[in-house]
Amino acid sequence: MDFISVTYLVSLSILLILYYMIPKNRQWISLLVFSIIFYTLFSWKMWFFMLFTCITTFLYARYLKNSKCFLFVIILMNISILFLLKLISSDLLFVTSHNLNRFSVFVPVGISFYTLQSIAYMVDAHRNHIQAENNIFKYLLFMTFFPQVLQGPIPRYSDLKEELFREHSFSEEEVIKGFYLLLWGLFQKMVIADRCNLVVNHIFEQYTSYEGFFLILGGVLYSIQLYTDFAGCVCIAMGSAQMFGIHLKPNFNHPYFAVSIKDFWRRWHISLSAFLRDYVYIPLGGNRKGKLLKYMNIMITFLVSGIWHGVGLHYMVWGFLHGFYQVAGEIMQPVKDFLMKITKTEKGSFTHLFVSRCFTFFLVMIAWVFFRAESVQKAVYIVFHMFTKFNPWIFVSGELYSLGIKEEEWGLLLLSGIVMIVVALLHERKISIRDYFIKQPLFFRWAVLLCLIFLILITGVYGPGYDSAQFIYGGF
Amino acid sequence: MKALRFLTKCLCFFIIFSFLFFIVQEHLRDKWMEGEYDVSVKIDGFYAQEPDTLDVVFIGSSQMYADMAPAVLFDRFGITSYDFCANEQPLWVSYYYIKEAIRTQHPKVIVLDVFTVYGDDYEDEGVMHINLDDLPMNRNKMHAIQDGVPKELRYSYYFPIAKYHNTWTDLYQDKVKASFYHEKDPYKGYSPFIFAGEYEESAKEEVLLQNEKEPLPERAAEWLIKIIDLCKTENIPLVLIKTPNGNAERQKLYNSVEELADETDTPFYNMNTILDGQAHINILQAEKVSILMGEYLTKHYTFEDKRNNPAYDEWKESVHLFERQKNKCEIISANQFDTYLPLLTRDGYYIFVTYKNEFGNTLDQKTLDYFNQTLHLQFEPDNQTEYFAVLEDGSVLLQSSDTNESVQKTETGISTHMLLSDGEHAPLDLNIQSSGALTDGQSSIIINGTDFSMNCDGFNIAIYDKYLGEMIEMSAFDLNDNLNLLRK
Repeated sequence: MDFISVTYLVSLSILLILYYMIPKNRQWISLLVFSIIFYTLFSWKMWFFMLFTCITTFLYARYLKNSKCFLFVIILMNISILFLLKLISSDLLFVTSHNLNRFSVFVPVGISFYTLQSIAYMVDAHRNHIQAENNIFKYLLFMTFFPQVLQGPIPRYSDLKEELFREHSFSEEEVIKGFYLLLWGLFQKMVIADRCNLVVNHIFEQYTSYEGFFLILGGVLYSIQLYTDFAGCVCIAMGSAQMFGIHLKPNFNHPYFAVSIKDFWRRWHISLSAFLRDYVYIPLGGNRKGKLLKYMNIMITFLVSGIWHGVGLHYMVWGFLHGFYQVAGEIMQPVKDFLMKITKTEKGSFTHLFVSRCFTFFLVMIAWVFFRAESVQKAVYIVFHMFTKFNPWIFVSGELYSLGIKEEEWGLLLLSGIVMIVVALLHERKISIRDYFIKQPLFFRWAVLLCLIFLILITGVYGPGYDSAQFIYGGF
Repeated sequence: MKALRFLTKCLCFFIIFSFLFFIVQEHLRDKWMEGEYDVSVKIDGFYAQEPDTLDVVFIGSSQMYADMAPAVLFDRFGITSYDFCANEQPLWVSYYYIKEAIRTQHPKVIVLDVFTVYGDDYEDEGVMHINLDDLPMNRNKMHAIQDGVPKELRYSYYFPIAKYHNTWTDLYQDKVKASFYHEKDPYKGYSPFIFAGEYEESAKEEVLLQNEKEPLPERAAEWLIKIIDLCKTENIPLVLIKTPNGNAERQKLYNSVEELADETDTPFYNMNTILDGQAHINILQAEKVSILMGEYLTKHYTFEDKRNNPAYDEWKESVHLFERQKNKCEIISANQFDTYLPLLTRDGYYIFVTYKNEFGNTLDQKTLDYFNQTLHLQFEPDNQTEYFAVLEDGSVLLQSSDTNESVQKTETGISTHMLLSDGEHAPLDLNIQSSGALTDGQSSIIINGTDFSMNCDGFNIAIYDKYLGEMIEMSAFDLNDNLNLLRK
């Protein structure tokens, strides 16, 4: 069952009714049953790996939590499964697409996410940060909770336990707010991300035919696509959970408003960043052992992040680039301070924020090219040829209309981008649009809801010929 | 209680949403409304017919709606009929079309063209959409979707918005209008093809010599038998036919159909062995096919002659339209100066003629006399090389040689501006101009901003059909090429 399907929405509605009808102390069971059905509908074969991870990590935390040796062995086993399956599903081991298809069936959905989730659970139990769960079914729900099993956020047991197992009374406000968030996620995914995808695919597939601003546009649109795709999925997950009174931690905080790469990683995929910080960077020594080791730890952490995202040198280069950006950013700090001083730019001023944000976005965009390209050579070619031709007139000459979407759709993308920026700016100022809507009269709320639903239905990219159900991060 | 109130609100919201959903979906759905393949017009028109007013319903693919003219059947035999067909219609869809025809019309006879007996698998997505989208959503349509569409695509037939939502960039007035307002089709499902498909003379001979039989594909045979059984159960005579398509290879299949027809005691009328024609025949050939069909039907079945029944007066319009299209076809098929000109004197046309003679070529007196006599004009090129004329219903409305204030003479030639209106269609804002060799050598027939002159040396002609409301022909008799006919 995919998030973007009528089946999901109908099932969600039915579950919602049941959830608030059954005794409150049994509500979690309904979530567990639905999560099992949800996960099984992708493929029952995936349960083998899921159950292995669940059982080994549950038993460790329950009975062996003081053993470092077992902690190491179980982490190693689960990590090995993760990387073995990733290797199998990549084209590194199996050259023919026939083999690839045959084995990729067995790669469980969300394995990268639930593996990290279970590692965090074991380490937290080992460190006595949490009380290990006694009920394996409750633990199974923690691991398979349907909104977050596909693409996270990667939850901590300490955060999610209370949310999942406490009794939830019906709250109209929570359901409506959750539904708004779900629609916002669908809008980001179906209207923006999948439309960008059409252009991005066109440019990245025929990259040798383009130069200059065409390739820059491809990079920028991929940056937007990746964000709206991932953030859209997270919004659907958070919205779905909120309808049941369960609050998942946000995974994004307007990352393209970041003023530095360090700031970017505080805003992008927050749950992964926190995992890498707590379970990789800090155990390596963090910043406690001198600057050189700190820089090395940063590089290692980002390389781990790159490897986690996929098997392939280009993912490692992407991780390396982010590590390098961050280290270089720290080393170059005095130069930045000097530049600000001579240009009399105050920290936090509009100019400072604007320039910092644009520069950070540019660096991130360049790194995303490596993330998207199938090989390092291709990524280098694309980045190099971004600057070999100055052709800004493509934005007014009509050449953009040959990139896979029509003139009206470019208009729609532009308008959607403006809406995204306005929403982000309001959020930055701690203004909640959902809180504003919820206070409005019924007819106004319904009108907004209907407009949003029809906007998605009419302008969304879906239907025969499209595979919009595939979220990019679902592949990691 | 709170939850119950919320559920009630959700229900109300869902009802409003559903109502809007179906309006939006219908507006966005692609419709085939122009040209010969205007299937949406045909299907909508079928459902707009009053119930139980059709004697015969023709079912099949585009070969059926290109070949069978209900207007001819009415005009010659007093039979009311309709081409309830869609492109490349597979037999498993024809089955449900027949069910719909029986449900709405209870016709006296159903005629099925067996062109698609070659089919054994799902048709491509475009064919299935053009066949199913315009049918109203009911049990028959749902069954047709189940039988004709792969499982993973069925949702886009139940909810076409999934297929067509992207058409928001391509909404136009007629498409929106046709969403909920279904008009009758004056052609009764028939498509007047002006140009016939390419046809080799030896084709029919090959068809006649073809005695081999090719087994019918399993799925096609199964549904053909189902159709035969359905008509027997409903007690409605079924006639299987094959319209002429000159395909000797397919004749092997039609021979098998004949065998199946014999086994099931169903008549099979194979016109493929009687008439010439290739797939989409033109209107002149279609008239012959329709007459043959009418003769066959009246010979084997009894129909009330409805020609003098005022309740069926709308069919006279169909007959008139057919005649207009036939005239159009005759005009477009004529290629010689002496055969072409008399056709321009028929009723219902505005004829615009401009003369251009940039190099001072001369017309021979015989040609000139023929031109003037046939069109009742007074063109004297010895005295003037600039000339234009406007004719209506074969009579001269205006010619530049007349003493008329509206004809303006300037250094660049002669011209006039006039408004022509027949009351039914939008008025024609005409600017016509002719220039001679000594001026700038320009011939133009500008109507509502568009120039319909070919601007050749010689006679440039544009023919507007007042009844059809369209410019049907732009031609020129070229002085530099022995008055050969040029067309655009």
